[in-house]
Amino acid sequence: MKSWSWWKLGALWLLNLKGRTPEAKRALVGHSVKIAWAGLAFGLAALSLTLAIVSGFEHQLAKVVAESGGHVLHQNSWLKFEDLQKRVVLAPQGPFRDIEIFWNTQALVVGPKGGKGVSLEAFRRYSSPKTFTDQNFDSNGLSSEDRTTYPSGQKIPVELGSELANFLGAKIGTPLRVLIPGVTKSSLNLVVSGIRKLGMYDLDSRWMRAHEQDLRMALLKNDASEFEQRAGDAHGIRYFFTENWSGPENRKQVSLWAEKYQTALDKSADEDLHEPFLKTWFEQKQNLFGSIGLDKKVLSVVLALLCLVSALNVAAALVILFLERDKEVALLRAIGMTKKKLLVWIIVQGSLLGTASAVAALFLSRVFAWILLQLPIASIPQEIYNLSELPVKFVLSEQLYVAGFGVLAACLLSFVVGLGLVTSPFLETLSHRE
Amino acid sequence: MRSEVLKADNLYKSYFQGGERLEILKGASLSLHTDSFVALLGASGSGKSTLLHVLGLLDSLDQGEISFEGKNVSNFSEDKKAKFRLQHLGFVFQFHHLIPELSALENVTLPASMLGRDAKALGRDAKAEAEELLHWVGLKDRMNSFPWQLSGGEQQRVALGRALINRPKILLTDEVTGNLDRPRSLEILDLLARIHAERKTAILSVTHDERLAQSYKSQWRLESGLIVEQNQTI
Repeated sequence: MKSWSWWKLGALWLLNLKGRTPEAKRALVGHSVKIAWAGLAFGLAALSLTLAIVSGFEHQLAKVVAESGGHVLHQNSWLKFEDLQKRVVLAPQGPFRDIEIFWNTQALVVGPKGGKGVSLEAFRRYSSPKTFTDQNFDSNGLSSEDRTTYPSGQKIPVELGSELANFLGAKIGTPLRVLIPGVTKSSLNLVVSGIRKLGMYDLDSRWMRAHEQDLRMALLKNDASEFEQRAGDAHGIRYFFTENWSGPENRKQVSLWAEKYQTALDKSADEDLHEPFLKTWFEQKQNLFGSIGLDKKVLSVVLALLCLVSALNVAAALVILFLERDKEVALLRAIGMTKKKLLVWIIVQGSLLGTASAVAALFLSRVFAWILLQLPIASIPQEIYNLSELPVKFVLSEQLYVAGFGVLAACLLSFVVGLGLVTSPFLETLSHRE
Repeated sequence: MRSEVLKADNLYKSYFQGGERLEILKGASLSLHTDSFVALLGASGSGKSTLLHVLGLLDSLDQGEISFEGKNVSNFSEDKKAKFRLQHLGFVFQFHHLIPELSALENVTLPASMLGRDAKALGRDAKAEAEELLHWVGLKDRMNSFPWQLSGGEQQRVALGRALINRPKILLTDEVTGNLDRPRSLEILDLLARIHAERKTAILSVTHDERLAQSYKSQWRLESGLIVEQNQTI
């Protein structure tokens, strides 16, 4: 038998696709339903776009962090260089790009334009990462081509974050002075040997580093006893990996390497090496990622509530629509449509419309994203975000979540409306004039 | 061969209205056969429509039993009653209740589509049957017209076609001529007579029109909740 299309009736009723009835009131109800569905589609589109923008920031941040060097940080207290060497020789083999030891302290730096509190890092590179001997830490003290004034000029070459350099009014070759509270009694002479853009404003505006050996020599010369007694600062080793291990996708490999390293240290006969403080680069940035993740969750919940309001509008429109169709629905039931069949029909229709809304929303969100990127509001401060425009990244799983939410909301609301409809008395409706 | 299709025994039905219990049916009994063509008369508010609704399993009973071809159908569940109505009963109401977005042909096909796989199993072509029915009720040229493009009489003919598409054994009509003028009423009555004669369908029609009722084979009267008079005129 040629099947008469129930889908056609559903579409005619729920979307008022063809105004085949001359009744203006019904056409109006049909329009209100269409507007309600459009509202749901726009709500879902907003949710989709917001997730895409937050994901864009998240992705960009992960990229910046990865580009800044995928590494494992081994932090511990040390006073002597040998303390670190004992640890480095126990590190398992890996695709190292670099290994460096460092200590970190707060300092006050003064440049041509003014002074500022900074985070001063002293570092020394391991010159041959592939073999671990206690002889192969670099000792020539030259980490930059621009360090030509030391030791002859007695100025310690330092690298600065680009924002810090701007603040101090420093360029390469600019002399600076630094005071390390609790360590130096008088200021040390520095010279800018490099300026780096680190990608994150907070870091860029406070970052300064020098070669550990240079700084040690200068400190020993001026404040030997204070230097030996300095405590409470961050010290440690950074194991940098090659690009193959630096992306977010290689977090697991890096974690496995860190576990092996920890085991080696824990098994060491030297008890000082036990229970090391190890963190992968991703763990170090976990708070930052966690913060973005939390932002994303909160925004998702807020926008999901917005979508729920849109969905409730759809439900209200459906109620009006079916109240307008009460006689037809009563007739269907009188002829012999079972409650179950009627309910399933309404749910399927509602879900199909929900699916259509979700698909429309995903399309609309891309259109909105494109429009947004054409507008001046998409431009963001380069110095803060290290980005010139709003990052938008549509993640499939998130977009599926948005679509699923739309379909589920439509399905549930159709169920509620349908249930009310199938349990209402129909006989009385049939007895009244249209 | 004459056989009983519907039997109602000792039907009781009451409603609560304004806190008072109104007893509508008080033990009504009747029997419809394959050759029944009956007009059910009664004063306004006597319970004619209620009796029709109860017989058509649209409304529940307080007491009594309704059998279809010897099988008790009054204790069916609501969904089972719905399926029974779809397969075995045809209804035409005073207000045709056609679906305005659907053409005459689509309106007639509607109950067949509800049968779904059952209709497929019977090897029926619902569309062809609907076309034949519309042809038969005199709407050959109006098949693709929408209800609002049809006159009252034509709309009622479409409703008749819709009631017949699943080949019911019984057709129940409720004041089908109530909204029509005399000539249109006579046309519908003529059509009912043809349905009864040519499609071998038992018909029970509720009407308040004594003159029209005389055209039926039998006239039953509902008084005080009972069918008190059964005139066999033919």
